[in-house]
Amino acid sequence: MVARHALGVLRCGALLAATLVLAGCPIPLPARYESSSRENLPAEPLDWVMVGVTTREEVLLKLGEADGEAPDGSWLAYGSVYSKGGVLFVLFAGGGAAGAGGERVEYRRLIISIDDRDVVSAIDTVTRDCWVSMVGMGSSGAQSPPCLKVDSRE
Amino acid sequence: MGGEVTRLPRSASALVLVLLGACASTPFGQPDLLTFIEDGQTTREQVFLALGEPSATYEDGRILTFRLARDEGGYFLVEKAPGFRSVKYSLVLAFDDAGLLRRHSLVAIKAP
Repeated sequence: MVARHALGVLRCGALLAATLVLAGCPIPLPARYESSSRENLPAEPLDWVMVGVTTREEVLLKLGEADGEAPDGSWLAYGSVYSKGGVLFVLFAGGGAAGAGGERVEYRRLIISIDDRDVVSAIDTVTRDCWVSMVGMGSSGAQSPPCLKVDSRE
Repeated sequence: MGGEVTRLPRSASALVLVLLGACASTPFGQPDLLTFIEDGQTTREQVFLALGEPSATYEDGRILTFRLARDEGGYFLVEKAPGFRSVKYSLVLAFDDAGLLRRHSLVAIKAP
């Protein structure tokens, strides 16, 4: 019974998305950083950070406030979210609008582990590329969750 | 007459100017917000009095950060919120054990 209901919801969603794609106006989404993302995290390795030498103070003075920090101060997280562009299909009807689309997003995260002497003990960089889908109707909308949390170790 | 131009009364023109003036945004920035900061001179107390609560603290408060943006008036503080929306700069202040500013930097968080 529940499975049949879920299948019905899925079919309706797919039908709505297909209708929007076929009948909607395509709006290109330009490449850009997400508005809440920092933009000073380079793609290339940070050659000025040296394990066993660089201090937390030096990291902060170079990169600024971290996106996240361990409660015990044992790591700092720096991240950026960059959209490489996408497309949004919008359908206007009856004074309202609905839309569905997707964009390619690059999540970049740098975890800098720090030891008891406040010196860098490890550097871990993760970059993940994923498609983010979005749907909206009227003033409400939703988008798929990020494929990488940039402000924590999770 | 085709070439006749209707002139607004002087009071109406003044009203239009006032209304247009109201559309112009007033800058938030202060030209001298950060001028008091000097390595080896500025104290933690001076920083708290001038800038208020920091957006983050590290190493038991030895290192403080503040979120800033800038407009034509100068720098202004940005309230802490998740992410760095509207934040252009991160001011990092590192003090010594006596509470005297040792080093500082103004880091551009967003591309110019």
